[in-house]
Amino acid sequence: MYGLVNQAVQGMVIAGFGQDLWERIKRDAGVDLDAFVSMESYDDSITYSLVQAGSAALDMPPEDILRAFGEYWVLVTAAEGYPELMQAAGSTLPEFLGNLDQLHTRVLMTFPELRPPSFNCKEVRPGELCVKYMSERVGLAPMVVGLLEGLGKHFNTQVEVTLVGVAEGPGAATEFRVLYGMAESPA
Amino acid sequence: MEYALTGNLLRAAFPFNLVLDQNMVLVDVGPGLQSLNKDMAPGSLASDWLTIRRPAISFDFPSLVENAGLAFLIECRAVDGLVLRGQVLHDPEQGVLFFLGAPQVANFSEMRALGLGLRDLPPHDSMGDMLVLLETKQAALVDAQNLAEKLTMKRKWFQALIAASSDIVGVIDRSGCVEYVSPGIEKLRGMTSEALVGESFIDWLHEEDAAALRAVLNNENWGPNARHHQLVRLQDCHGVSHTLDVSLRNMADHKYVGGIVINLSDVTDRLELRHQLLQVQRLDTLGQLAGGIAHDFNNLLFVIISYAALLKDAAEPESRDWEDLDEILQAANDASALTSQMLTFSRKQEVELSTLSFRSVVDEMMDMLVRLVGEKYKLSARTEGSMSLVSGDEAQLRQVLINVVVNAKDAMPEGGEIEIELADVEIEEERLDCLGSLVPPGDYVVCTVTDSGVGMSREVLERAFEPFYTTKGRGKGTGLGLATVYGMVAEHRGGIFVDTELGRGTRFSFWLPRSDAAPSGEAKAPSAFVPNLETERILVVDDSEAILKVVDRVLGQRGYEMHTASLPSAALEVVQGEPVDLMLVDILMPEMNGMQLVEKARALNPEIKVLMMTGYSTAGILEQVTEANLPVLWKPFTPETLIARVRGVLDGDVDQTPG
Repeated sequence: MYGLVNQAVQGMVIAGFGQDLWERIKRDAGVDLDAFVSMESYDDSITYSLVQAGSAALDMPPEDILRAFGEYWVLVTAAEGYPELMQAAGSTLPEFLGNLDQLHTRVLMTFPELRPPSFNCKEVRPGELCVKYMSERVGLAPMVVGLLEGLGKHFNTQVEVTLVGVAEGPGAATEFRVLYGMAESPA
Repeated sequence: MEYALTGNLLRAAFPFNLVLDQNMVLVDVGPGLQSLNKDMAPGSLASDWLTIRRPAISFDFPSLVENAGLAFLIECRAVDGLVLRGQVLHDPEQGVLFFLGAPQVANFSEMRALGLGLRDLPPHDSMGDMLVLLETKQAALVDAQNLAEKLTMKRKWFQALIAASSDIVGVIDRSGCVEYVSPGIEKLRGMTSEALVGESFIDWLHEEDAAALRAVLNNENWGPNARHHQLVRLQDCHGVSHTLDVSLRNMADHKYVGGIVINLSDVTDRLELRHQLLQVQRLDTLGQLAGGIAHDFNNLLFVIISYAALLKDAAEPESRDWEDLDEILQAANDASALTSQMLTFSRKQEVELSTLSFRSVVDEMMDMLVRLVGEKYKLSARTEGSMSLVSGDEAQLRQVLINVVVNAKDAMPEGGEIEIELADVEIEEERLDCLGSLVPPGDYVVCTVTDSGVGMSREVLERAFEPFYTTKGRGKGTGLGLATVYGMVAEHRGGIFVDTELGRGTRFSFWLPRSDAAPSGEAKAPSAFVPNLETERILVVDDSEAILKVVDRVLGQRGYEMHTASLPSAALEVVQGEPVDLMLVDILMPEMNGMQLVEKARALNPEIKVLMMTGYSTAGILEQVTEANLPVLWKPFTPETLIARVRGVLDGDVDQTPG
């Protein structure tokens, strides 16, 4: 994964629990790096180790960590680091989700080694979306829940995310049902 | 098989498309454009909404057909600021022109200003890629800037840390060439650390040290992580010699260091301090030795003086025997003065402290000092700089000044100027004097004696305060002058500072702590001795048989009933069996010391009076004696003094109630 992701993990831990815990998590994860460079590609194992060590240090299940990270990614990393991109991608939750796949594809121009997931979003009925998530990585579905919840907060709309079914691997899609409120405006 | 895009597919793929007929009427308008301005609808004239920016051609059908294939920039006046970029395609069969394009924007802000978003661009449109690329690269740039800022801060932090360190760190290569050295080196080399890169570190060192270090670096077995440690000598840019503690660590294989790390610690002062401490210890040892010798001499001199005095009393005045005995007495008294100086050096001499103005002392002594140094010397004093009082033994302080002035005089055999200066000085931090003694912070009266004589070499200065060390030649000096000064100043808790250089004279300062007490009054004159025939019983206790005999004889002749004991146990037997009025007790004895004996004796006879004797003050015991209000008779003493002090104690001149 790119350093941007690890930077976000670092930012979330420090913001919530302080520098000392981050140093401890890094030490426990065996990560001997002072800083991550956003545009540099790091081995996925670093990110997974950090999540594992964070889970142990905070006595939280890894799923909860990933979910919190998904929300942090939208509300802090993306909103503060890429505000124009976020605005250009949509002014409502469904519009944004509709553009999410295109966004990830276009980002490949910048991060050629990125292996981004695909998102297929369809409006089932007013106020209800079906989001299909496809990734070659496994175990990150809880993070998508956090991302969707974070987007609800970003667009100032109530959301209820349900994991309909998990299917991982090539050609498989994990499906989420997203119920959202109708009164929406960008946060 | 021929196939064509239907109108709907064309609009989905190119939401900003336009189709014009030969009359330049809009046949179709893409949904992207229509969403921005609904009035721009099919059927309207293209020229009502559009202006060609590029290429520079007329906006008519033939011109467009003629230039189809070029890149077109078309301003869409229907939407403020919208410029479309694309190409014109001519379909002769249908007799229409297609314009396939997209908004030309430089960033997402411009896009938002037009009311457009990423959703308005079809996935194949590269404009969206470019905008995302710009946005993400910009974020990456900010990230890189932040990272660079953090690295700069960290670098500056480390630099400040290294600059603040009293040690110097650096990296050299195997040949000793400097690759990096911290700024602390500038004090030693007088050049910036950057300018020293490439110089040979080894060349800075003393030849012998350089050879030893070179041998280490040339040793092939001195491999990765190996360490080496040695002291090296180096002369700084001002020619001052320094001793450095050098530590080396071979980190040539280290990923980031890639060289040999050196750590230099300037230990010149530390070594000097250690040297001074050793000097103090040596002086202390010499003091103990001198004190012990003086003690034994005192006992011998006491016997000689006492017997000589007895014989002289018995001899015919002015007879040959009388004159010979007088010579013996004079020589013995001179010897006694010598032992007194030795005792002063060893700080075992009794000190009588009073609060006095050292300025007055110096002023009073000037006439005498001028006579002392003689006509060849110009002696001057500036004492107005000191208004403070000191707590001191006036006789000792006079002696200190005399000794220092005589020393200055002797440094200028051909004559010269000697200047005495007094000043009140306050120091806020403790200092080490030239002998390594700690001078604590506080107020001092400083007396400085300056001469322009031969000065002293470092070697001479190091030994100048040792007893019997002299540079004046055999028979010209006792070598006790500065030794006595040392003992006296130390006794006053002061310090000695000497600034001297061969051929350039000497500035000798002694510092005396200021006293805030009121000046002491005139000393009480001793009561006159009135001889009479005595009747009391006296017990003398001393482990020296010679002293026992002479005291027995001197006091026995006065009529006292005498008992003697060479051991405390024997003395206690006497006290138990006889009604003793006074005990004359030596302080230092076998079995037990004088104080312990007095306690035991008083347990047997509480009324017994005591006079202690000693040749020198012994730390601890003398304080107990003082605390117990017991009088002390200092050896050597004359028969007259002995008789007077014994009479005084018996008559109750001294209150012997413990203090």
